[in-house]
Amino acid sequence: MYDEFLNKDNSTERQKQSKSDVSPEANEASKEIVRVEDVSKIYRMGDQFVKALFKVNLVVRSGEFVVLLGPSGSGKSTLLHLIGGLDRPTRGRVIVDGVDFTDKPESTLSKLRHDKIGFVFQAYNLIPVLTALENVELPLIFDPVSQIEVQKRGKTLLELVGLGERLHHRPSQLSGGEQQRVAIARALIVSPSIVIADEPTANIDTATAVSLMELMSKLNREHRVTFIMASHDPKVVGYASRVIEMEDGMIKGSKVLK
Amino acid sequence: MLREDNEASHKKTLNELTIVGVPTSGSGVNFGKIFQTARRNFFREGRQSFLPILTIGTGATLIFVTQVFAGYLRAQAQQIAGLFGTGVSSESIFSSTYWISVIVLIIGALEAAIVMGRNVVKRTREIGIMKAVGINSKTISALVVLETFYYGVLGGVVGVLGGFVTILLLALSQLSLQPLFLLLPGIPEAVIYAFALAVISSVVAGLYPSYRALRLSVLEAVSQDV
Repeated sequence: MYDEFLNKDNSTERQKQSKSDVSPEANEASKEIVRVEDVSKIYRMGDQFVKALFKVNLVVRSGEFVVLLGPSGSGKSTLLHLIGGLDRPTRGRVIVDGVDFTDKPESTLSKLRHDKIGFVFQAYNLIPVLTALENVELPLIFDPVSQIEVQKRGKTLLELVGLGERLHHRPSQLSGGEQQRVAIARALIVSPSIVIADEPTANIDTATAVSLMELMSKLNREHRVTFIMASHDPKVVGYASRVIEMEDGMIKGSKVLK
Repeated sequence: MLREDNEASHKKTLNELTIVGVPTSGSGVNFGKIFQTARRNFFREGRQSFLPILTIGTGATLIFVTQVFAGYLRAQAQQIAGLFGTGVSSESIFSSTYWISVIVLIIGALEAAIVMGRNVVKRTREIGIMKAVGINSKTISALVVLETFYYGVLGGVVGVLGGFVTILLLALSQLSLQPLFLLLPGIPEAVIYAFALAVISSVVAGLYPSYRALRLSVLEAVSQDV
């Protein structure tokens, strides 16, 4: 259905076709975590087709802190949703930690999200009736594993993000920054291959945003947690190992910083 | 050399972060935890659960009493038929009472379905979050069915208790407990019927809300405005 739309304006698009962005040579020893190959995403809104991503190529290796920078509507979130298995591409392939889930059923995507991906959303997305610890335990709640071990790990992670004293507080009793820290701890409970953070600092004040970015940077440096984060705030660039600029659903440029 | 050192430190820090005993790619589900969560979600809803429980309970009470008094009703029907001619049979009175009970039970189940359907809509974001963190859609659907199942269990309990009270009051209304002993043999069967039908109706009622939860788009759910 989308073939005609994708091919129709190829001639005009070819000139500004999305640059491919592979991982820097310095990181070649690291394991490849994400491979995005010629990915396009088209949404249909009534009779209109909206091109959210166009032929994007990207490789992320373990230990990287990649920031997708671009204005609203540039395709950052769409790309993160595809990498996170929350959505499927219209064209192209997405491979995460060796699993190509492009044409796989929802159950495979669900397992991929469970085993390999941690999410940090802009709106925190914590369950209001659960405590901080219960929210962190959520991804493993129905797993056939020792709940004592899960709880132990949840506590360790909340301590790691500086919320050791707030284990039994509900989200409504926590500040925005604290809620986002809970979300980070929840993302880490499954030992994910990659943590996907979609504008995690957008809903919090500048000082809190700085401390949150420092926390993520520390997790990246000290625990080698791989992050891919979308933001429209240029201030977050300083924490990234690589910045990818996006515009109109395409990669406009890329810069290795560390 | 430097790379080897980096690799070693990488493994070390990851191991430190990975607590032994928590597999990152486990399979299967912890059914006990699903039951526990469904129970907690059910009680969380509080007052709005009363009406379906009460209606299912009323239906179950009627079924209970009908079962216990089946023989009695038949005997009464024969007498009524004797009084009013052949237009009324014992079976028609028995089956009418029975069908009224079933209709009440269906109404209770529909109420449970409506309450659960509303809960699924209200908890769209919560379900979306669960799906986003990798909890299987089928597990979430099972959770919804189980929550509705608790309406049936509590409705069944209310129904059986209501049935006992009704029979006791009927027996006492004749100023003697003697008729109660005549009815005792039918009670075990009545308990099973009333409880089983209450539970079955609630599980059937949970199917539609659970289907809605299954079909819910994770992306739309987590992208909802707070």
